[in-house]
Order: sequence, then C-alpha cells, then structure tokens
Amino acid sequence: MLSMSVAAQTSANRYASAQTFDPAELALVASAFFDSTAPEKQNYRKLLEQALESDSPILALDSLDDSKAKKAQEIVLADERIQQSAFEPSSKQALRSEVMSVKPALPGDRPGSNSPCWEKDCYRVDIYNFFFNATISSLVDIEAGAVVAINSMSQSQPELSDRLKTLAVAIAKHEPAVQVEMQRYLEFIGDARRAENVTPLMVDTKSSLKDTLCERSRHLCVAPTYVLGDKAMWVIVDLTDMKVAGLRWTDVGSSGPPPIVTERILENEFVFKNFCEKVNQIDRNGWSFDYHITSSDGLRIGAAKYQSVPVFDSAKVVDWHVSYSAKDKFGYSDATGCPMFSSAVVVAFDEPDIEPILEDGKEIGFFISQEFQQQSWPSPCNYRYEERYEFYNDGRYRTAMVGHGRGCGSNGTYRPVLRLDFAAPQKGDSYNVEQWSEKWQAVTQEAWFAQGPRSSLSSERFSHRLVDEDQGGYLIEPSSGQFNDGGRGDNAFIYFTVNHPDKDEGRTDLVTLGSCCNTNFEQGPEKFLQPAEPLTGEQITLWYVPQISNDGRKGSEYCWAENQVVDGVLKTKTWPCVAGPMFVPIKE
Amino acid sequence: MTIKPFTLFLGSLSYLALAGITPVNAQVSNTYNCARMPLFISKVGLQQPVAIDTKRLDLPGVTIKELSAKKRSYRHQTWRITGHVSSTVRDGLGNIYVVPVPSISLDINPIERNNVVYKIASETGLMEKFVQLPKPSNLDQSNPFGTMSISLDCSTNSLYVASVAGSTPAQVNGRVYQIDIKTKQIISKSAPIDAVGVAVADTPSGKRLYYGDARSSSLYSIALNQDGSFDRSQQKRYELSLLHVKNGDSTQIRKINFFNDQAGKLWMRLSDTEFSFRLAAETNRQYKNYDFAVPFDLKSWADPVISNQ
Repeated sequence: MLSMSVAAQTSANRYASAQTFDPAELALVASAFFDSTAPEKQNYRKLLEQALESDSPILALDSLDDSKAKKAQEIVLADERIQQSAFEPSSKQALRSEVMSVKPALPGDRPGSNSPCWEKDCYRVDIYNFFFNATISSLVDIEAGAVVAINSMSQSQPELSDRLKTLAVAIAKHEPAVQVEMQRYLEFIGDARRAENVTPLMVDTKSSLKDTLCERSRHLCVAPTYVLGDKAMWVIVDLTDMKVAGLRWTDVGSSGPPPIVTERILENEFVFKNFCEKVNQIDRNGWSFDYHITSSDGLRIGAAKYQSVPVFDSAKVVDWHVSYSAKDKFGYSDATGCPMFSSAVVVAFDEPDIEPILEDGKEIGFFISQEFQQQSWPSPCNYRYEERYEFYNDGRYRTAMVGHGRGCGSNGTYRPVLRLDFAAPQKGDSYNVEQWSEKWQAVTQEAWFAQGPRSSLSSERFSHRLVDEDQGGYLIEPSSGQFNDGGRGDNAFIYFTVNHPDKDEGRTDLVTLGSCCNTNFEQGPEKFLQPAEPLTGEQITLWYVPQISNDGRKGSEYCWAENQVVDGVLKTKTWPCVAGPMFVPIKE
Repeated sequence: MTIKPFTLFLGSLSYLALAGITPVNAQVSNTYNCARMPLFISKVGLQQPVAIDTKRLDLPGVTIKELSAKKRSYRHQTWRITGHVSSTVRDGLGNIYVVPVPSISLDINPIERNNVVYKIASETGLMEKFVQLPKPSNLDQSNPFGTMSISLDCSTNSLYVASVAGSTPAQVNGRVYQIDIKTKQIISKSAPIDAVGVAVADTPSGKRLYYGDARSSSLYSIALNQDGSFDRSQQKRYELSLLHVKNGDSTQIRKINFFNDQAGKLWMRLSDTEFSFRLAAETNRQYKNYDFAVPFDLKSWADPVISNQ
C-alpha cells in the first residue's frame, strides 16, 4: 500500500538548493521554507498562548511608563465591545489581538468641536486583530474613565509596538537564509566581515524597519533592512506567522521613488524570473525532464526520460473547466499560469515543490507540484489548483490534478484538461493504442472513450495501453480511488489524437479549449478528432479529462476549503480532490 | 466629503448627468468638462438618471442602466463586439467612446481586437470601430492587453488612449495616443510608457497628462503642448505612489479623476486595481479609491482619504 509523505528538510538545505540566481544579479527569493529560530519568538509565543487561554485574550503593552497611558489601556481592555472584538463571532474562539500603541490623542484624532475629546484629556489606544487584519482605534476619556469612541478599520495595520519591532529584527537576524545571502553578497563585494556580525543598519531607529505589505496572505509584515555599500537587503518578516516571508536586494540612492518590496511584488518577480522566463532541468531517481510555468497551460513538463529513454515529450493541464449544476451553463474556464505577462487567471505565487515519495520510510520516487491560486481564495468563486507529476523509481509516472476549492457552491464539477504527448517508442516508429474491452483491442483511429467502472478494466486497473513493436510500452491506469490519496475516482473522458509535427494542436499555449460547462465528452479535445485520422504509424497525444464532483457537506468535504481559527489567527483548511491516471511500464 | 454629481462613481457605475460643469479652480482645471447625455437614451425610453455599467462579468461591454426603481437596462446589439471594456468617456455631442480590456479569458477579447477604440453614436446608439491603433508585430498570449483606458480633453477635442500592446517583460512598448475626435486621426503619441489609467489637467505651467504606471503603483505626469500633443522634450514627472501612503497598496492606478468638492476644494481621485499584464477574474476583491487634496504646488501630495470602491 502506497503511503505518500513529505520528508522534512532543514531550511538551510532547502535554501541552498534554491540558489539558482546569479549573485551579480542580486538575490531575489520568495518562499515558504524560511525558518528562523529566534529565541525571542519562543518567548513571544508563550505570551500569546497565555493570552489566548485567558478570558481576556488581548495582549497588553507591558512597557508603558506614562500612568495615564496605563490607565487608558486598562479602560480599553475592560470595555465589553473591545473584549468582544477578540473572539470569532460564531465559534467564540479567542483571536490573536494585541495592543500596539497607547498615546495622547492628537488633534487629528479628535477633529472638530463635536468630538468627545475636543477639550478633554484623551488617549488613543490602537489594537491590531491578526485574524481579521484590522485595526481597532479607541479614544479614552481618562477623567471619565470611559471609552468614548471606537473605530474599526478592516485591512488596516497600525504602527508596530516596540515588542513587535524587536521581534521582527530578531526573526530576521536568526533566519539562516539571511545569513547565507548576506555572506554571499559580502564575499561578492570583497567585504571581509562575517554575516553574523552585520546588523540592520540604523537598527535603533525607525528607519531600519521599512513598511511593507503582505497583500496576499493579509498578514502583518515589516521589513528589517540591511544596508551594505550601495545595496540594501530587505527581509520581509511576517509577524502573523512569525517567519521570514522573503528576501530582496535593492539599490540604495537610485533616482525616482524609493523602492518598496512587498510580498506580492517579490513573489511575482521570483516566480516569473525563475520559472516562467527560465526552463529548469531535473535529474533524479532515474528520471530527467525539464519544467517551467507557462502563460496559460500551467506547469509544463517536457522531454521526460526514464533511464535515458524518452517517455513523454510534453505534459500540461491546458484548462480547468468548472461547471455548476444549479444553473445551466454557469461556470468558468480557468487557465493556470504565470503571475505576470500571461493570460492565466489562477496563477503561481511560489515555486514548484519537489519532494520525495516515501513508502514505509523508503524513497520510491519523487514528485514535482505547482500550486496556482487566486488571491481571494478561499472566498466564494475563487480557486486554488495543484498540478502534480509523480515519478517512481520503477518507471511508473502519474499526472495528478488537484482541486482545493472553494468555488461558487457545493454543486460543482471540475474537469481539468490534461494534454500529454508521448515520446516515440524505444522499438519501432510509433505506439499502437489498445483499449481493454474484455481483451485488448486496437484503436486505429483518433477517438474518445469514457472511463468505465473498475470491473470493466483490465486487471480492474487499466483502460488502455500503448504498445511498441516488442510489446513494450505503457499501461494507462485511471483512478478509481485506488491511489490512497483521497481521490474518489476520475470518471474520465480519454482521447487519443495524432500529434502532428507540422500542426499545432495545443503543443504551444492554448488560450482556452472548449466550454466550461459541457457535461459530456465535448471538453475541447474532441475538436481535434474531426475528422478522425488514423493513429497507426503516428505519434500519439493523450487528452485526459477527469470529472470531479465537489462536496461541501460536513464530514464528506471534497474539493473544498474553509477558514478556521488556529492559534488565534486565520488558517485555511482544505479537502483536496485528486484525479489523474498512472502510467505503468509494460513488463515482459 | 461631498462630491459633485458629474464625478460621482458608484462602484463601476458612472452617472450620466447633464454637464453643469464648473472649472475646478484657477490653478488646475479638469479638461473633461463637456460630457453630454447621449441622445439615444431618451429615444429608447430609459428614464433618467441612468448610468453606464461596464463591469458586468455575465454581460461584457457597455450596458446603460436606469437608476430609478425600475432599474431597466439597455444594450444595443452592436455593443457586443467589444468584449470586456474599460470605463467610458462622452464628448460634447453625447457620443460615447470605449476601449476593450480583456478579463477572465481571451475568448471574447481576442488579442487581435484589443487595440481598438469604439464609438457609440449619440443619435443612433450604434457602435462602430472608431480608430484602430497600430498593431505591434509581437502579439501573443504573454501580453494579452492592448488598450487600457481612455480620457478626453474637451478643450482640444482630443481623446487620449493608453495602450500597452506589444510590451514585454523587458521592454516598455506602450504608448498614449492623442486622437482627434473630429478627424479620427492619431495626432501624436507619447514616448514609450506603459500606462493603465490616464487623465488630462490644465495646470499653471500648461497641460499635463497624468497616468498610472502599469509596472508600479506610481502616478506620473508628462507635459503636453497647448494643442494637446505630447511635449517629448520634457521628462516624465513622478508624482506619488499608492505604496507610499499609509494603508496603501501595491496595486495599479486604473482611473484618475479631478473634481471639486462643495467647498470648492480640488481633489484627485485615484481608483486602483491589480494589474500585472495578466488576466484577472477574482471575485470578492475589494479595491480602493484614494482621494488626494491637490496641493498648490502640484507636488507635495499629502496622505489621501481612502475608501472602498
């Protein structure tokens, strides 16, 4: 029985493996693999845990010298409305909230003579709610001992408390990737210093912490900045997740507006430069192939070889069709692809993930997986997809398509359209295509098939096979839920067409193919079947369109996602739906 | 802050109101001040006030909607040709000008039709191709965009159309074109810039075209000659960035409007969107309006009033 798991790797190792850029070009890194071990983080976590477990989960400032400020904080934290803001309205779970500043109210805080604080001794208390990414500002009348005004601003972030500023610098300082990157640059410019001896310039002043944004995660972020010569390294620190979110060098003193590096800018540039503009190669576990992210056909794997023998020339998911049964012809044709300069609507935020596949603790292969997402996911009608290619040590490979919801309702059907060009066989000029129908029968012309029940498959597994002159080749095993990945079966449409060397039938990026909302075999590839041409003696293209019904019912979720409160902050839980065939070498 | 009706925007709906237009002030004035109600509106029986809706995902293109309780809408069959579009402008005769901007997919906004200006005739409501902008030789899916926005300077009868057609990751190939609405001729074009939103204002030092940069969150301006043509002897001028304002964003400026509030104070409203030369089809995405008080020196921009679109 196959059980897939992901091997843990240290952040330093993973970072080292990601150094694909030229040092002279200045580093550009955005990834989820950072892991700062700052001791300040552990202390802060303890404070948070205590606060979240208490009846009053809002973390107070503990460094207030001004007695009036202390009183103002006490008054605000005792206010019932403020207390309520620190609990999720429906589940009543405590939310991570923290007082950021307590200051005498400025004229701008009490505009006009109608303001309750126009002529009074008032303080302003700003609280940041990490779950809602919102700032709650309260005006406190010290003499009356009352909160006289509360203003809540969603998607708004206040000035950081000293505690969080210190934490941000500590997280940056203890991030191995920061040290590695800085050392690399010091050596590049011939500076004899060690990276660990360099601290953010002007660390004691506000200017070493640059304002930045984490637009996609909607987290609280700030950027400690190290200035070395004429370059500055921005370290974007995500204070919601308490880790580094990305690194980027910028020029110091260049003309024009001062640059600001944000999560989205950094991710877009990183993915585009390294995986859209560049074709990457991999050679591992007996397999070799190239890969890149396309403009609108997702992650493309090309020139795949096993033990140096060509297996397939190209594999990609050209479209994700999503239809909803509640309304006729309602749905979307989603293209996945690059985050910039593309015709995709669901785009890559990060690099492909390459991980080993383990079975009983033993590495039996590896996979490469690329996620594509809309920024507003998992809110309704926004999507996240994953395109995963698995390569096994024994020569099997699988093209898996994964939906993470959430879509526009619980009555949706996902139909991703996979296109795969088989390589020419080892023996002979071309494969013969055969279909199992109680015995193997030749498929001599371009045609489509609907996946039958398991009992209709050869050995209850295989629907088709490609056979060369020596009876070698590959068996095609659609999913009937046997892959132990949570998949519930493909119910696929399977098409075989001629791969014309002189005619582009989807070899290059396809704009969109077929309607979003057809429920039959007319998913787009059928247009290449008319008129049906002979397959014999030709190179073969496989089109494979699984049909995956989503489910939002409690306990049986599939292709679904929901927001949850975890440790007081917002996390998204997904119930992925996995589809796609396995290709199994024919053994003698 | 109260805004005069002719500049009031409700989400993606722009009011069509008879232009009782006043200049914004002695220092700076809005040059889009001649817009008239299209004549076909009354002929098709719509009750005013009406609004132009250009953001319907299920019905791409222009739709005229009543704002009264009846909420009837009108759409001429010739209007389908545009696919998804930007916001519109109207001239002093009530003609409507619009440019296509792809969204969601290229099925209804094919690349080869994305560098065109369309006109809806005031009298008849018929849409026709008004001007075909130059087609670059390198059109492909890596940049599916052409025209991005449109603006009108009533004093010179010039349309300004921003296009990013042919721009690549490494090369800015976009232009802003000045088009004479009487002759349909392209009179001049800017130096290469990739602009999203554009607007023209008369300033004490002459006309300037303000534009939202497609590759950053910045607002720039460039000098125009008195006849509205581009003064290419002057460099573009950086004005401000949405990223540098408190609670700003890394988004792009898709729309620029100058207007006076009831106290006569001059404001500049910037409406944002996320643009990275790719299609966007996100729902539930909240974008913002940034209202900047226009400074006397036209340089010292203070923090804006931010509201949701």
